Amino acid sequence: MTELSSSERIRVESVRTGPEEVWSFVLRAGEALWIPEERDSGGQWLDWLTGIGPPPAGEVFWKGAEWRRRGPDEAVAERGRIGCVFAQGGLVANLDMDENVWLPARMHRREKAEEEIGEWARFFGCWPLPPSRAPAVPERLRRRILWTRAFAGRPEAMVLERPLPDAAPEDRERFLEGVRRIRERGCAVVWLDRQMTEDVRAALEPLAKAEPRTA
Amino acid sequence: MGAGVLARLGRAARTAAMVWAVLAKSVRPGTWTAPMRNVLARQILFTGLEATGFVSLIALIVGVLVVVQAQYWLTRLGQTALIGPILTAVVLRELGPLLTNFVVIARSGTAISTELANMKIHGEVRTLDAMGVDPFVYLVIPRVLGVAASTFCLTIVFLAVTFIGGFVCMWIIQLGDIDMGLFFGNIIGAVTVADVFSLLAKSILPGLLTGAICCDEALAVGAAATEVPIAATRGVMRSIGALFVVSLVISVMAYL
Repeated sequence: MTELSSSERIRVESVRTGPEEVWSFVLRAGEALWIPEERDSGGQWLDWLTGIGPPPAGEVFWKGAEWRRRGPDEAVAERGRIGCVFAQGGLVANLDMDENVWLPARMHRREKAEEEIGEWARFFGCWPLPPSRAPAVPERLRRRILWTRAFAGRPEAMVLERPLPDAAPEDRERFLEGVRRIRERGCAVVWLDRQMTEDVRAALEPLAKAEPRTA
Repeated sequence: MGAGVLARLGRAARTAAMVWAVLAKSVRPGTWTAPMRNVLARQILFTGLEATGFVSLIALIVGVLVVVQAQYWLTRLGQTALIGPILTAVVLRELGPLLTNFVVIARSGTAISTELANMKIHGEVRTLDAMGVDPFVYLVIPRVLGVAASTFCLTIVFLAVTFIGGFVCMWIIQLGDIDMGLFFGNIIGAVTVADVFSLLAKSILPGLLTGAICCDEALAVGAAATEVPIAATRGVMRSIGALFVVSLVISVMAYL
């Protein structure tokens, strides 16, 4: 494997989202990419990039291997290296909020998980994590907790699905600072949203925009 | 063969494959993570421990009913000493596992189907998947194993309560003129090796199938909330069907 390819995180080849829209791009460690995804698209890009669902046509590679060519256990383990912020939900309702954060760390038996979770929870201002169910936790705090879960665990890539709808200005700022920090650690970032506001664009510089080519 | 029959066979094969996958994955140490063990413990608590009272009540009533009927008919035939063996034949071989499984299907089968179908519809299964938490390991395996282990334990409770209830009933009917050692000695003496294997199979296998069927039906739902009750009904009906088929096959294999 060459030096260049060892830094490759996500590669999309000939993925079709419409009869005439074909997407191909590569995302390497520390890079940021904006995919202009429509709000009502049903979360397709997140599913495709994390390998939980295949695109209708084309291939999605994670660290050099196409998701469908990985065995189920390997795919699960690799998915644990990707942090996700979901546009909707993102919670396991029958777990407390702190258990929601701890779940991936415990399933993947991550070392230093407590340290990492503590670091990001303090960074986002939600430490200590509340041991209570989601309805008992204010929406703003809930969002910060879910950011903590996505950022903890030393992810090699992050897929952010419309992560800042109606977020308070100080939360936006904090989140974008978090994205900057994690990119410095070599994490590739994919931002899924139809529009890209100026403050986000500025915070994510250098930022590439994925665009489909006409078939 | 018609399309309906083929579809049923396909579903049965999928359920069998699911049970096999659960057993195969559960022997791997990597499967037994702390969250998985936590879900398993919760499942055993709900399916096993919390159902003990209701199962005991049913068992007590069954014990009294069987003893009353046996006493009535055997007194006429002058064979009251056969009450123990009859309890063994009726309760240990057939009624105990069957009724316990019914209670488990009615209580836990519906709960599993409804819970998992709601999780699927609300995107929680997708969330788990995207985080690298295998829904099969985290959701399915602990439920299937928990239901099977609980069903086995509840069956033992059922049998114990039935026999004790039966003895107490006999004691009342015969105004205390009954030898406890003889009564339980008759029951134990009537138990064969085939009974032990049959009991194990009839309590564990339908439990595994109930867990697998209910998980399978629940995780097959799409996006509409109206699919939840359909999944629950299908899960329960298929589990009952599987229970009868398994019981029949085991009885035929063990006693014919």
